[in-house]
Amino acid sequence: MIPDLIPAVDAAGLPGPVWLFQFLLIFTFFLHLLFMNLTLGGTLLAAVSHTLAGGRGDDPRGVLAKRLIGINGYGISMTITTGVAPLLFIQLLYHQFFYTATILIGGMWLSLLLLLTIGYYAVYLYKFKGAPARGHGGGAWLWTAAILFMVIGAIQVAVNLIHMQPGTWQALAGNPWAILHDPTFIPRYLHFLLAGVAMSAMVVTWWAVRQSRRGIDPDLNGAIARFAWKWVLWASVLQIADGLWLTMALPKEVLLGLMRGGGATMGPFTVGILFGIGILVMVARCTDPVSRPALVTATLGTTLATMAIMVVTRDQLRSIYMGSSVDLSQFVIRAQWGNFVLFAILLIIGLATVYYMVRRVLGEPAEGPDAA
Amino acid sequence: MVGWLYFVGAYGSLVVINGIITYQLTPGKWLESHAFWDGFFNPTYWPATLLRTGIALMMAAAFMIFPAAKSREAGTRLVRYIGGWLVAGSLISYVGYRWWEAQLGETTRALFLGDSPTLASLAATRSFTLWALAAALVFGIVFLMVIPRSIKAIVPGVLVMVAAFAFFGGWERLREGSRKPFLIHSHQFSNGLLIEDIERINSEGVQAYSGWASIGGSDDPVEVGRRIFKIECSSCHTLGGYQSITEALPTFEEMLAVAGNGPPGSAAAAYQAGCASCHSDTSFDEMVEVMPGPEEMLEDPEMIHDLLVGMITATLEQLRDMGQAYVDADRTVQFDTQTTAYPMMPPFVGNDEDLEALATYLGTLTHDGGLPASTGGGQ
Repeated sequence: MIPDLIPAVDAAGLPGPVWLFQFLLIFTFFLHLLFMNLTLGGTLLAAVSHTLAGGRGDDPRGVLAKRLIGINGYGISMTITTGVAPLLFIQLLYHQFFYTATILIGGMWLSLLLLLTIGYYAVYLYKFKGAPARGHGGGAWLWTAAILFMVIGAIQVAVNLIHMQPGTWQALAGNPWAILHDPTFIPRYLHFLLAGVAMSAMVVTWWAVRQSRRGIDPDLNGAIARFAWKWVLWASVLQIADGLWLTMALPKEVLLGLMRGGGATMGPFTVGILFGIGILVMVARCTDPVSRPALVTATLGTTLATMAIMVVTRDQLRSIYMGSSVDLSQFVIRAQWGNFVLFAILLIIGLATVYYMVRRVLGEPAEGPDAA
Repeated sequence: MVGWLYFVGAYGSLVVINGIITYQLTPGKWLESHAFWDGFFNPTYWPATLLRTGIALMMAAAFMIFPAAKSREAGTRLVRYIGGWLVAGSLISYVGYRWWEAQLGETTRALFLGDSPTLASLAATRSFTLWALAAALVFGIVFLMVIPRSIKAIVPGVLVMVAAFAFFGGWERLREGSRKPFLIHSHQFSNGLLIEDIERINSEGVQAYSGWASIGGSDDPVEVGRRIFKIECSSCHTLGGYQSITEALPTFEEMLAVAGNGPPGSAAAAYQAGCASCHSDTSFDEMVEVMPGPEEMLEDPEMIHDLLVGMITATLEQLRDMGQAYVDADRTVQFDTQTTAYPMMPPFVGNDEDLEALATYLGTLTHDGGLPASTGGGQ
């Protein structure tokens, strides 16, 4: 007999309707992805670029690494703070599943804090002891950060795969590492990693094109834009191949569930794929992004739109994976609208603050040894 | 402007999270109303907010000691300025601490205050915390305000920092320890058990309540007991490390030592160390009278094992009976844990079969007073 391992739903109930928290889970996860992509893919791209530049800060690739880490000084903290909201919403809606998953890989899950702390410090060590401060060196710190962030990404993929497959819990209780043998683990992980690299390269390209068009170091910015643009291209090519692999690796019933969902599930899924191909076509059409600023901006916009759509598909896949294991309608709703209004006001103030600070950073970037 | 934004954001985070943490320790009116704001603005909310404000000032000052010492321009004026913040933070923390302690329920204070506190280690933590605060205050006044040049040497700055961190860490430990045996006081225990589920689990059994108790499919009582231990005990007890369960269990060696199989006079000491806490109503002489002799024990270790399992079973039954006190209590007010046999422990829940399985499993841990080789004490 297979024991029922799913804990009972918390009798305290939900402080609002299910749809509201589903929306907030998806919305805040999208916000998290914006910064997470720069942290994960950006640090990896910076490490590779730094190595290709031979560790020199005056090479265009070295400057690119400096810029990415310049963003990450703020970006990592934003990744963490924006990560808290979806973490809370997922525990609100799927606490019996998510909490259990984190316990099953408790050691790995808790190590995330240590890895993040070391990775964050490593980024600062590169910034203050390596290329940005001295013009050379610091590659080891950069690679340390990149590798640790990649490990964190793998832990997140693992816990997400576990929480939506309660059928695997019994086996995982004896051997949590078995999650690495899940056929979707590697393609799912690569899907996030490649998206991170592509988006980071896209942001760097957009910024370099913008600078170049304004006449600021046009040669340097042109070289950075062309280099990063190639990364957008190849990361997108690999992403499409990986997306196909991920789709094929999905359990048969999940894939069938996605198809049987009709327009509601196939619509976003198809649009996401078309947008992905669209990005590839737009990038492949141009070898010198500085000459096509509108195309670059459109590609960046399409990248963000694709992410937003794929976040919806990811959430739908979760529901299909869980199938009858989850029934969100069984929640007792004890709405607390006063608190929700307070939350919404604070969220808006928070987002406005982030917008204000990003504008300040873009408008007057800090320079010199005190620039954190 | 950005600095003020940062302050408002960071302090706002303290204000919110403090509401959650203090609610867990002193839920107050929430126990009756289950209303959000009753839980948030609970009896220790404002004292802890004041205390944490003081701690925040102390931390900010402590972190700035060495940058200030390295600053050529600012010199002693800056060190004195930082010293002022540290001293102010220490005084605010002290007022906040006293207020916080006064707002705790009598039952919680009894864990670490009074002539015979329930948890001696927690009482020691309280002393450590207050001495560390006193040290931070004195070091702050002396090294930062009276002789600020002393900071150029590393040791005085380190002393201030260590004292400030020790106070901060000590109080957090005291706060966490004071909540025992609860996660949310008078509502949910540290192992996740809700008071409202006690009766149901006692009647249905753990195995019917949680699939995790029957995972693996084996009906072997030792295996079932191991799973129940994981569910009910392992959130506080490891096998051989922190809060070691094997150290808490009676062992064959202890029985032998009490029965007189050692240097003359050692048996009474062994009884005091290993048995007296659970047999407060039985004197050493009375115990020796009813116990088998050392030769008898060595001849029939199986009988001693059964005796040990019997002792464990009796304790588990006592722990299960304790659950009824929680069930019968008025759940709209904070529960007085001092009225129970084990004030710092959750009750055992489960039917007779579960209890027997757990006792059988724990009995296996009494062999040689040690651990099964495969566990490594890690669970």
